[in-house]
Amino acid sequence: MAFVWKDEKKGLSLPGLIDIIFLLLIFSLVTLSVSQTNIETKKRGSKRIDFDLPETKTGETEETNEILQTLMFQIEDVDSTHVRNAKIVFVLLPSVKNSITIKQAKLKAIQDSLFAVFPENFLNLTDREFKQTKACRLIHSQIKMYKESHFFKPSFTNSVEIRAVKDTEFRIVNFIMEQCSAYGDTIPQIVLRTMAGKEVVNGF
Amino acid sequence: MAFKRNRERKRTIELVSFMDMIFILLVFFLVTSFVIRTSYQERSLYVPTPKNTLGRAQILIQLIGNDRVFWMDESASDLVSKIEENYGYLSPVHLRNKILSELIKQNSFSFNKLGEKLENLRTRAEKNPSAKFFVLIRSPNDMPYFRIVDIIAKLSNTKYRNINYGCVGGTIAQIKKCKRIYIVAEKDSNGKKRKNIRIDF
Amino acid sequence: MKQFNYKKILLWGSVVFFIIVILLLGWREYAISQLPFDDLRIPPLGIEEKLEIPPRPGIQGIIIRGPEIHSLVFEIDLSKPGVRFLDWNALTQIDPNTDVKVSCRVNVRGRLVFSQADILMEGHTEAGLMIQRALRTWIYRPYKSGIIRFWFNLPSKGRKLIIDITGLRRRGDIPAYVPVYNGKLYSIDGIPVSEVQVGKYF
Repeated sequence: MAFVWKDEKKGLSLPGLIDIIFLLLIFSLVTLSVSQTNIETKKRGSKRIDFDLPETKTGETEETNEILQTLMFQIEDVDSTHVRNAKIVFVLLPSVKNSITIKQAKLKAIQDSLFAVFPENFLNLTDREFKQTKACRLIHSQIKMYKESHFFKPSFTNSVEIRAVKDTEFRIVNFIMEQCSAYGDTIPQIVLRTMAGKEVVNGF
Repeated sequence: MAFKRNRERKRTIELVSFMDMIFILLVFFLVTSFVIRTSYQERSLYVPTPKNTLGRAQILIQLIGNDRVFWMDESASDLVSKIEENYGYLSPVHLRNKILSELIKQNSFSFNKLGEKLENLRTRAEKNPSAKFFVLIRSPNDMPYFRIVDIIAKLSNTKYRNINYGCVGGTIAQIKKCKRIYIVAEKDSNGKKRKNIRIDF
Repeated sequence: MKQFNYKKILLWGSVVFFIIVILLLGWREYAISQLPFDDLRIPPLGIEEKLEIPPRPGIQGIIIRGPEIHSLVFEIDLSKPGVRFLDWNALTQIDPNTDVKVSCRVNVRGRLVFSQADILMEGHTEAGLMIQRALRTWIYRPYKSGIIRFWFNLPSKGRKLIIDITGLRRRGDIPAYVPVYNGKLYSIDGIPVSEVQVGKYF
């Protein structure tokens, strides 16, 4: 007797199809969330990430605001390739209508020469010598001018902002705080800008 | 006629489904172990400016170099009080040196331990909503300011917002050369007398 | 004839008056002690002008002491820099017939949360927007949470602002023996204290 093999009908393998669809779904979800991160970063300007602010996990939930609200000192490295580097301070002034962004204010500061470099050996200077540096005199004069035109009476809303790269020496931040404290309760606080993750998801 | 029994089909692994399974598991573990930050956001930390007066604090944190800190709180008052009693015959300068050397010896530790102490402080503040704490951070000039930001970040935003903080410039050498360190007896808000430590710069 | 001894009358009168005052004060203290803590309000008089600057570090010297114990007062946290005042005079000028009701939720962080659906401002859009902008910045001390309702009723007399706090509950994790008082619940510049009513009104 000859037995004839029956050809098995090859139909669609449903489990395999489901697996592949599932894989494609996971893949697209992962890439979508990662690419959204990049888009948002690019929208806000990649300079934000390059700026290297100190990171904090504080829960202050202020909305990120590019518009400059008050006098800000932006402190950066003069040359990011050196390990211990001279620092440069830019004085960013808000516009009358509070419509200028940090980026625009920095460009304006460069145009108006509202910037100065701290000498490389500023840590070794005495207090008096440090206060006489061009950068410190610029900070002193700008705080004084801003206080006279904007802060008329003591208020907890009066503040000066500092946006500095994270390895900025405390001496500079302390100097700005001391200049503000010279006016008593008129400028009772400074604002340090930090970077914080909007959402951190860690599986393990 | 004897029919050969159909051989039992060998149990083979269905390779395609097996690979799918492995792939799914791989992707799952990749996704869950990957730290996803959707975006960085700039936030603001409010730091009070210093005052040229005598300050009051519950905790003093003096940063020493990049890896050590000196911590002083109310628990140090017993030690100071004891040294004042036992070594009262010393000159003020020697007494000051004696007190500070003991304090620094017993209360200096690494940054890792500082993290634990700050966590304990937070827990204490969250258990006692009526208690208000002020933490004073003193930092040398050459310290990168992110170290202070790290400490402040751990103290800010407690449940009852009852931990305040401030930072000033200063070194451990300045503390060692302070004018005087001694115990002052003051009444607290309940009218009870307490021994507080006073440092005059 | 008996002569009036004025000195004696004066003496006895003052003694009686003194005793009545002591009794009244004692009764008042007893009545206050029987009130549930959450109903106790610290009157806003005197808090109007208080400027709360956050504690600042001193540099001349330092005193290390134990933690300060303070009363828990549920009020606007003026030490939070984002808090904005509502300008009452400007509101009155924009719309003297303002009748706006806002139902907000105070979350555990003390922030006021509300949506457009929680605001009734028919016919008073501009005033309503002005009120919204201020309310969104108000932050309370994180001792209570729940529903708080504001009724800005400018045409009325003596009740231009009514605050309903019956929906607020103290945080469950605050120990029961710690009292939580009610303090100043609004951040409004220029409103007379007599025009503010707090309690259950609607």
